[in-house]
Amino acid sequence: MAEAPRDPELDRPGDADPGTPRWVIVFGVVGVVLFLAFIVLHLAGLGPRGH
Amino acid sequence: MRPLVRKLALTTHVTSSVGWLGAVAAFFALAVTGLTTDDLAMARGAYLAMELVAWAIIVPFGLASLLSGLIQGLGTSWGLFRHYWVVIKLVLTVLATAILLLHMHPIGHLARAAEEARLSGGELAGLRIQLVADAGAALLVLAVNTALSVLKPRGMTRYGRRKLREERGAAQ
Repeated sequence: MAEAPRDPELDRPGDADPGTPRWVIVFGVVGVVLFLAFIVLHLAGLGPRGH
Repeated sequence: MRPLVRKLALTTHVTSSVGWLGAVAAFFALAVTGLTTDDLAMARGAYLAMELVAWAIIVPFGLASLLSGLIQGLGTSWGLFRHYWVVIKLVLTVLATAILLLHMHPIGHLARAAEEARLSGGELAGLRIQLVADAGAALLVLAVNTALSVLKPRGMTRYGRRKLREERGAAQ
C-alpha cells in the first residue's frame, strides 16, 4: 500500500456525512449470507464428527 | 514509516498474500483430486501433500500476510479502520486465518488416514467433501482480497473522516 491519496469526498462543501457507500452495503449483505451458508453447511454435517 | 521500510513491508505483504492465494489453489487442486480419483495411491498422495502444503506454505503465508497487512495499515496513512476496503480486507483476512488454523486438525486427521490407507467410511467422505468446499471458499475470499487491494474502492469510514479532519485542523 502506498500512502493514501486525498479522498475527494472530503473536499465537498459542508460537513454532510455521505453515509456508507452502496458497494459496502451490498458487499456486507452478500458476505453475511455466504458466511451463514458456510456455517450452516458445517453444522449440517459436512464435516467430521467432533469437528 | 520510512520509504525504504514501507516498500519492503509492501513487497512482503504482496508476496505473502499472492503466495497464500497460489498455495490455496494448489490445495484445492489436491482436494479435488483426492475426492474424485479412483486411484487409491493417488488419493493417499494428494492428502499427504495437502498436509505438507498447508503447514509449509499456507499457514506461514497466511500469518505473514496478516502481520504485514497490520504493519502496512498502522505504518501508513491508510490506517486500519479509516477506509472501508481496508476494514473489509482485515476482517476477511482475520476470518480466513482463524478458519485455516481451525482446519489444520481435520487436515492432519485425513493425512493420518491416508497414511494408514483407510480412506473409505462416511466420516472421511464428509471430511473430504468439506475440504474441497473450504478450499473453494478460501480461494474466493483471497481473490476478493486481491481485488480490493488492486481497486481500492472509494469510501471512508466515519472514524476515518473524523481522524482526517482532526489532522487537518492540527496542521492549520
